[in-house]
Amino acid sequence: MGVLDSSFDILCRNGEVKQLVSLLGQPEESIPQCIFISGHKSSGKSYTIHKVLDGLKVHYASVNCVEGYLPRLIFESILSQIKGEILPPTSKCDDVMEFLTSLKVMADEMNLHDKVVVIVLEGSEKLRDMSPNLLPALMQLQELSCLKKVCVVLVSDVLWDKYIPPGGLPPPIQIFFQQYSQSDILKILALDKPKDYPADFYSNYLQLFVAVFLRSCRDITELRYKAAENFSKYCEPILRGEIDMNDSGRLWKHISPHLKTSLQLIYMRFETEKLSSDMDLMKPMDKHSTLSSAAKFALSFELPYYAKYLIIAAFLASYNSPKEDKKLFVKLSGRTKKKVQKSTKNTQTKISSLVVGPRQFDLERLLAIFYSIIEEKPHISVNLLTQITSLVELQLLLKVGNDPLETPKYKCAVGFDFIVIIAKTLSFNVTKYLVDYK
Amino acid sequence: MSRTPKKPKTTTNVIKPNEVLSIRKIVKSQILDPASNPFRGSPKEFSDVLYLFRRAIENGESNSALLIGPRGSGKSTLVETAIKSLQDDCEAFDDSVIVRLNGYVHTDDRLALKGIATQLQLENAVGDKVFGSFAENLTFLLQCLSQGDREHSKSVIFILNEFDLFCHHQNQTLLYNLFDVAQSAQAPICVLGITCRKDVTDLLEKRVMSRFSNRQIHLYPQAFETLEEGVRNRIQLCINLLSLSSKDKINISAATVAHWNAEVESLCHNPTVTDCLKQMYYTSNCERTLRNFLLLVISRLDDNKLELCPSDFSEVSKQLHRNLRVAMAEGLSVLELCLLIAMMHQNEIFDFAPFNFEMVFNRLLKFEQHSSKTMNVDRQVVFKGFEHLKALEFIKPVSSSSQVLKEFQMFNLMLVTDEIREAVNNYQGLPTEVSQWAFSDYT
Repeated sequence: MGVLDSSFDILCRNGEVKQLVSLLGQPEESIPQCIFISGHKSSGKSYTIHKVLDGLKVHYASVNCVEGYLPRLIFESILSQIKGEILPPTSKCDDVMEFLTSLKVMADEMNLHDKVVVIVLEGSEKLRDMSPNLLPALMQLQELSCLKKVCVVLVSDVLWDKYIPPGGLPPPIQIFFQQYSQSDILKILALDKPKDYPADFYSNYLQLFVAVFLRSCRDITELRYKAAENFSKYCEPILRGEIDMNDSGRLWKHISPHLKTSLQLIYMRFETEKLSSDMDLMKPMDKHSTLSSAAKFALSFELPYYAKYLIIAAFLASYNSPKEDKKLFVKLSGRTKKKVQKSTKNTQTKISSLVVGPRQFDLERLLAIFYSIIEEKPHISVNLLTQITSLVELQLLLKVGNDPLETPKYKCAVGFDFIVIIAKTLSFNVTKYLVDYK
Repeated sequence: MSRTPKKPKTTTNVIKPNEVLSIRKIVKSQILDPASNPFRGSPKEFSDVLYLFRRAIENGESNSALLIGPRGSGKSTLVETAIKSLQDDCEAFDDSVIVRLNGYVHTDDRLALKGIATQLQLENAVGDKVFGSFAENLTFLLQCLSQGDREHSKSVIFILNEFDLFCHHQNQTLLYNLFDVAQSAQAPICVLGITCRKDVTDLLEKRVMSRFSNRQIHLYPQAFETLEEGVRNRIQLCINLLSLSSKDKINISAATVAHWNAEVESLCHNPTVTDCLKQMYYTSNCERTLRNFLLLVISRLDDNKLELCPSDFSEVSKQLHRNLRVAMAEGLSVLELCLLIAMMHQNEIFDFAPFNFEMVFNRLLKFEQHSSKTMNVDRQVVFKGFEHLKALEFIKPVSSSSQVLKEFQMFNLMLVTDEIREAVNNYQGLPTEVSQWAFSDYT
């Protein structure tokens, strides 16, 4: 057994590997019915169990429940993997019963009765949404199929206590994968070292990188992607011969703005290269690249003049109550008197409508606000109305309800940040018209 | 792992490495294999079931009954043990058939009928026959078994596991027909439903209910007068599961067996071990939990580690009793943990009213303004963190309507304040201002 342990080449997962081997390692021993593996995303759960099962040389089938969104797909995939060949299209397996019969037949054919067979179900939290009988049946597969050496391994990001239905389930054996610590992460990232750089140099870079990124993200997959992406930037001045390889201070100065912009785009998988090259290739630090990603997004639409006013009007209609309209948009109304009354009545306890979400409004209100905030008065025309439709098409406005007889109702689908940027291009002050702003 | 000083001395003498593996194998099968665990306790319920089966097999009497008891109380074990004992001492047993149906597998009546046909080995007889109704089909199956008069027909015992699920089948046709056959004595059958729902008879339709014999056998886990007695019983059970019996045909010397059993005996009375067992018993009296626990303990043996020691028990117990929600929260990034703290404060201020992303984000921004170091958070990155928490089911949407924009969807926090604070306490390298924020009474 000691020999087996060392042959698994899995970093930072010794305890878990040992436990799995001790449960599944000996083919002549009894095998538990169900093992439940939980832990954070990309903490090596699937990798570890696959490596262990490969190393132990047991029969196993592994299905991802996101791919196998129907019980039939899961069953057929399990059967074909155990058999080692693709099943003939005639053999259908729609429900648990047919699965059990085919499994038994297969076990007779392949003489599996005293061999360990493991079924790994990744993303098993999806099983809860399928038929309510599926999860309990799979968890008791050993009992139901009368194969004494069948074990179902459920892999999930969600903890076991979220699985238990009102009727209860027999408790499985749980193995929890602890999240990697900072030193573990450094060790794992160091595996991706490019060949032509020394290990010290790369580990220096990783220290800098992890110090910036770890606060927002501990997902190894994402960190690996970002580390590789930024490393080429890190090395650029060295390749150009501007900075010496050992001058870590200057290298840090060079890379830190890059890391910061890259941090903003985490999980987004935009090509940062492409974005900055679109803006300006030679000077990456010009005023565009200092804009936040939200601003880039807002400007990328290049909305026409009237459409900009329309979206602002829609925002104001969504986040102000219709009661305030008169006060905000009608000139020379008795507003001072009312304001005094209001401010004494309303204490802070009211939740700002900016955080509650947009309310719906009808077309007439939108146009009324639009005409009161725009200086020149364009005629209502088809051109103007098509602007609204195209805003809906762009998903900046949401149409509520689809009754053809009623006047159409809308909701604004963009946030405050977006509107502020749009308003800036028109030099229009939105906050003046927002009741709930500060 | 702490090593007791006496350990190296004993291991060299008594238990040899090759024997450890066989011990492990035997004990594991004692813990896991249902066949090696006969039913214990509740002799009255056991004899009731046995009597029922015996009457059906020997005299061809039809009957129906329900066996009700909570999960893990040994219902299936009871039935299997009863069948096994009949197999041993009843001559007529070979003339009877046992049909096992499971609510998880036979999810509708068509499947159930197919299952019955397979288990009665009558698929060929059914063949391509077309039946008008379900009842016809079932009676045909049963008639195939009866040869001539009542004395000579085969009796069938139906065991319906997860009986409550059969009640949800359309019109309860299967149950109606089974109970009908049992009541009108068309063929000698005995129907035993096993369920953990106490209100199961309320699920039965009136016409089904009137055909059911209304015999209910209730099974409860062993009850003890005092907690101490319960714990003592637990320890005894633990010893039984771990020790080797001399009658096993094994390649272990008698001296080793004696030594192992003595070790187990003394181990189970060790204060550390009894504390673990006591703690487990206080939270759950389910036997399956104990078995899982012992399985993990016994799995720690291998050819480098030849004997169990109390620390094995305490370590496994610690592993099992760990609050995994806290452990999960410790694995979050600082940003995500900050989101959790913001939600916690939001809950305190608004008295556990549901919240949305905007509210939490505002709270996070306020914290950022107060704290000396800027967090440098981008809205989209924070939103990703929020979605991560949602994927982990730390927060749960109040309603699942797709009409609402995702920033404004309302959520409830599924963690308790204490759990979040514990995670903050255990977090390695957390900035001090964050932990101060978590423990402040935020206003």
